[in-house]
Amino acid sequence: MFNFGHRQRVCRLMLRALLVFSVMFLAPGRWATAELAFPEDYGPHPDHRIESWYFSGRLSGEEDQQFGFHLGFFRLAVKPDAPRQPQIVNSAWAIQEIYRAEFGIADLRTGNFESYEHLSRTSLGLAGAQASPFRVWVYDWFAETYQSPGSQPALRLRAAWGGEASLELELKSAKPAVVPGAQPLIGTGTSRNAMRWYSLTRMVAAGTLKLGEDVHQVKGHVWLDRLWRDASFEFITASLESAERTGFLSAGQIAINRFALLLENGWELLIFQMHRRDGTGTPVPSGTLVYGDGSFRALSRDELVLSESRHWISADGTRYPAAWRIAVPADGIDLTVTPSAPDQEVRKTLRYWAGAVDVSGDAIGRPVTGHGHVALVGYGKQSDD
Amino acid sequence: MRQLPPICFLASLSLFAACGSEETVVEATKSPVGPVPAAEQRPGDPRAGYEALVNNAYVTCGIPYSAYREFANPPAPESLLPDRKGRNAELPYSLTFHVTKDGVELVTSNCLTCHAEFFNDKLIVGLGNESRDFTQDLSAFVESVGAYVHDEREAREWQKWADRWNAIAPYIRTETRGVNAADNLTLALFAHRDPETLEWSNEPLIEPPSKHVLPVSVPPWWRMSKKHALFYHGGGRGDHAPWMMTASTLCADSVEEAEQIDSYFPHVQAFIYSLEPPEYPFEINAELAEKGRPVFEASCSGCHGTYGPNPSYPNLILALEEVGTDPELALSATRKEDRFIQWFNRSFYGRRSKAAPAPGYYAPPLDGIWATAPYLHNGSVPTLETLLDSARRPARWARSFNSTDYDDKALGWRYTEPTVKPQDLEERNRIYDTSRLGYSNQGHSYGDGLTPDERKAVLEYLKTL
Repeated sequence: MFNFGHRQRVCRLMLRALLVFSVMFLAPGRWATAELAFPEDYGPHPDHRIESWYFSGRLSGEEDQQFGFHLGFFRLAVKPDAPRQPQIVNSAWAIQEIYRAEFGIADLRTGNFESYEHLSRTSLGLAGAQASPFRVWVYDWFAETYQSPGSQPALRLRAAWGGEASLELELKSAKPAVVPGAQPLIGTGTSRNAMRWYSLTRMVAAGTLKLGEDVHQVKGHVWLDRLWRDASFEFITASLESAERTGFLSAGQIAINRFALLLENGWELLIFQMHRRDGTGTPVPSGTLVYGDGSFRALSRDELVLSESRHWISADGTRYPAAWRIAVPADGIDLTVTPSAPDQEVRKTLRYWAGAVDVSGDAIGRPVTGHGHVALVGYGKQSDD
Repeated sequence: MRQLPPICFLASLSLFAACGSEETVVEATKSPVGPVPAAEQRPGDPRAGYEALVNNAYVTCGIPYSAYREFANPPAPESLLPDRKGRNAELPYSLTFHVTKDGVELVTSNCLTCHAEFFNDKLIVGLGNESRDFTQDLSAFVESVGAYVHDEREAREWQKWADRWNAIAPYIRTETRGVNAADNLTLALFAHRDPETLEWSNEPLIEPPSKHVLPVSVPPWWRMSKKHALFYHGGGRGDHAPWMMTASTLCADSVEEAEQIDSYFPHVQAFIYSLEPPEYPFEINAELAEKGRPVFEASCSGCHGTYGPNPSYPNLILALEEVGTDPELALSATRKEDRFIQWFNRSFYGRRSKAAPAPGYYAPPLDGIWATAPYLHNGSVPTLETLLDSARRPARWARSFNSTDYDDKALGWRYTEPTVKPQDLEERNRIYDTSRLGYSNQGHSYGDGLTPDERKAVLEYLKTL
């Protein structure tokens, strides 16, 4: 049992908690086909230790400026397997859940990318999440539902870092939620610690972006990946130790590339590619194709072609893939995906690449363009390098 | 967990006779159809065999225990077996705990993955698993396990296990859930091992089997004491124990390791031979069954033997043209896969055993036949009623895979005949389409000549076996 009364211990735990947020983003599970319920599933799932709300999008300014961003909220329940001590629960200072938020913004005209993060415990209302009405927040960053008179409920986001950058957006989903499925990665839908996942793949966004002195009225499209899962404390600890050693987001022996791509024909692709960090083994792509009417289908490894053709090397020598071909022959999809700016590496407490990409190619035999967001996790030096 | 190999189920083999010179000249020979002669078996102790079966790791690579715990649910009480030792007692029947020489704790597969199954919600050791899903992409599973592995020594063990499954994954995907890819699985493993040293190679050393899996239904273990040879085409000749331990070819990387497993496998064989079929759990009309006996003995016993106080079993392999069932499995074994015969007979496994398939199919003993649906060697017929009335066999059928969904009138699984292709992949994979290569439900039309009353009586009699 942790002794939460010691400040030092709390600090260490918070650092560890920060690191463990990697786990939820990475460790694959069977994507649940469980029915979703709203607004409950916008909100937190206290019976699962780890959870995230990850928004990413492409925004256009009035003068055709292009921006990419991501805003992620991550929840970690600090809940050992043993029952909690009553005095911990009763203290206003007690840490029961820890939240981390990460905001990345890229000016695609200049190629400049910055990332920021906040970390807070839930105590004293500094951070938290609730289902009805939905809201997740860390300090003054938040995502929430709101309803203006006479209109459907919508989402709005806010993140800001001093005078450097701020983003406020209103989002309306153009399609129902997608539950990627039918291609289990591990276990079964009812297996222990199975991941629950849904995505809102195409939300129409409008709002204001401030970068320094410049104020941009922006509009575009935003994608939400929403997931929650449980994990044992032992596993969380092992993940933390690995992350502490390396400084990189990691998923055990596996690197994961996640593609969230929006095509101008109204389709979206959510693709995952697992591959071993050491380059051996069989890379395993899988994914989901969402059609214009919101219907979708799972894509197995046999239905997907995924190859990388270029690399980008960060200042410390980390080598990330930087151009891909993604094809779904059965749907006539053959796409080239390239970063909209090469350096979109998040270099906060943990490091990974998370940035805007451009898409071009064909869908059902017709030329198509698009854009999206890619996260590259599990790169960087390993502990024994 | 569905990544576990079957054990006693190698097929698709034809006989090579080495001529003993440096330059090995091999002649592909086959067994004839007709009676199968008995072969000498080593003695064993059934009790010691059961203990080894459920406690020993004969598959010696697997998932690090720490990773397994992250995704596996605690086992349901009905999936636990008695007399399991240590951590095995906490694992479901199909998994075995193993600690490597380096002290890494693993969860490994065992024989019961394919040779135990639930019937009417009750686990029956020895009943062939007819619900496993070989349609899935195994590589996706084994690779994703790596996300749960952090320790370096565990990572090495995970990688060893994952590499093997990755190597054979393309050769073991079936078109429908419920049929087994055991034959291709074993042949693919052979292709990656040196027959002399048993050393593993991530690259195949001989041409792997076809990627089109010829499906097989897993026969029950309690039949095996009657049979003189293993497998549908009778290709498993000689000592049966080395055949039974071929699941170890996933991980056993040296002759020494294989010898160690072989040292106790006659006991496992003795346990398997000691198994009796379960009692039919529903009502039997004894009078009607007794009416069915003479009909059975007149129509079926010539090939399948007689049952009761003085049983007999003729150990017969019928020619393909005689039995008329889907020929692909026996044709493939006798015409297309000589290299695997050569591998087997040169290997440690071939020291006491020989591979010699026949161009035909074994007429199996019918003990406990009511429990072993679906029928024929490829599991293409859902019930005994339709087996005995070939015009009524469904061409495309699907079942729930719920072990309580048994039809005690038709003796088999309740099924539907879907007419549209379901969108959902899992739904689609449940459909058994008999028009696929190797999936045909043709042949064995011996029941067609029975009158409806005779058929009904024979079905009642079959409940008593």
